[in-house]
Amino acid sequence: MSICADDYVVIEPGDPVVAHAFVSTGKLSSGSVDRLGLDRNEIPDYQGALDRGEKFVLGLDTIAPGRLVPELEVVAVIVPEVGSLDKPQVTSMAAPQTMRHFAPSTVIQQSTHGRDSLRVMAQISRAVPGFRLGLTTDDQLNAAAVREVIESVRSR
Amino acid sequence: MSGWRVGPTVLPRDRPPSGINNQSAALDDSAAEAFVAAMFDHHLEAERRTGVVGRRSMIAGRRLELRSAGPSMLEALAGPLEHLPTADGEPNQLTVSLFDTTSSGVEPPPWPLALPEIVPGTRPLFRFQDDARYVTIDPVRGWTQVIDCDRSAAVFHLVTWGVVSSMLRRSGSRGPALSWSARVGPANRRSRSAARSRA
Repeated sequence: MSICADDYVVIEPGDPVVAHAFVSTGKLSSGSVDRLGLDRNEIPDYQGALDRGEKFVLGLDTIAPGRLVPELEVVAVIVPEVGSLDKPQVTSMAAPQTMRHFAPSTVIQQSTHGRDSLRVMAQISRAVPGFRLGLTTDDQLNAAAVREVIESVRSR
Repeated sequence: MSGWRVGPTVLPRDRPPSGINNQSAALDDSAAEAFVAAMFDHHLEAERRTGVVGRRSMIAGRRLELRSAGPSMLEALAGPLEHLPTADGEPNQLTVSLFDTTSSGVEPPPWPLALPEIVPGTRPLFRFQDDARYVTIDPVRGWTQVIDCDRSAAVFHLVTWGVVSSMLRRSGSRGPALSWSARVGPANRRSRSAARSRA
């Protein structure tokens, strides 16, 4: 699976909607460092950052070599729900429901055109299907569920 | 009348208590105008003193230039942007200018409003804006950002770049690994005191 960000992307509305990579870094907690099986000795100032209660910023190429791409087509919005289900649970969401999940936190972080951002997010919510994904504690199962959603959307 | 207004104070979600604090301060239009103009002027003064280092990149088909007064800030920021293609020779569509007081000796202009008291343990972001200009102040970490949409330009000031430690290193075939962590250092504590004294 290719990635173009850990968190923030530049979204270009249109047909298709495109997500553009910006910074090539990702932010990890100590828990996510462990889950990804990264060598703590490879992470600069690991203990220092841990002591300060901070996250670690690593190059995405370190975490997923060769997976970073400059842009990706947005085919779906998937809203994860942290949980401990036996298996991942995928349910469809209507556009307004989808937008309610990602618009508030996005707009509040915008120091500029919140209204324009809202319009773009409304377009995205209408342009691509939205799903709620109930998670298990098994990262492999969760990742497989994301792949299945993407494949099912693409095959429509 | 340009219609400057104070936005809600935002508390980052990792800094309790989370949410929006609607405390707002009075803001004079002419003071806000002068502050925005001065931020760009002070960056130019910093560039004059330290020299300018620039990096032009393409992102989402747009030409972005990061300009730094002195090399330190841009060197640390360049790693995460290395994957972006270099912009062609056409004019920039967004220019972001960076300067810090420690390396340039240039102070930012005084804030145009008295900030409310900062609750210990929080890191509020104070905002004010008109229809095209947006200002964000983080008095705890000591940075100020001005975005001017009409000029397609932004300027970012940090009290001291020393509060951000960066390490860019090669780790064999795994490619560049960059880590930075922001620390509240002496300059930030000065900034926090300054915020209180201005309040």
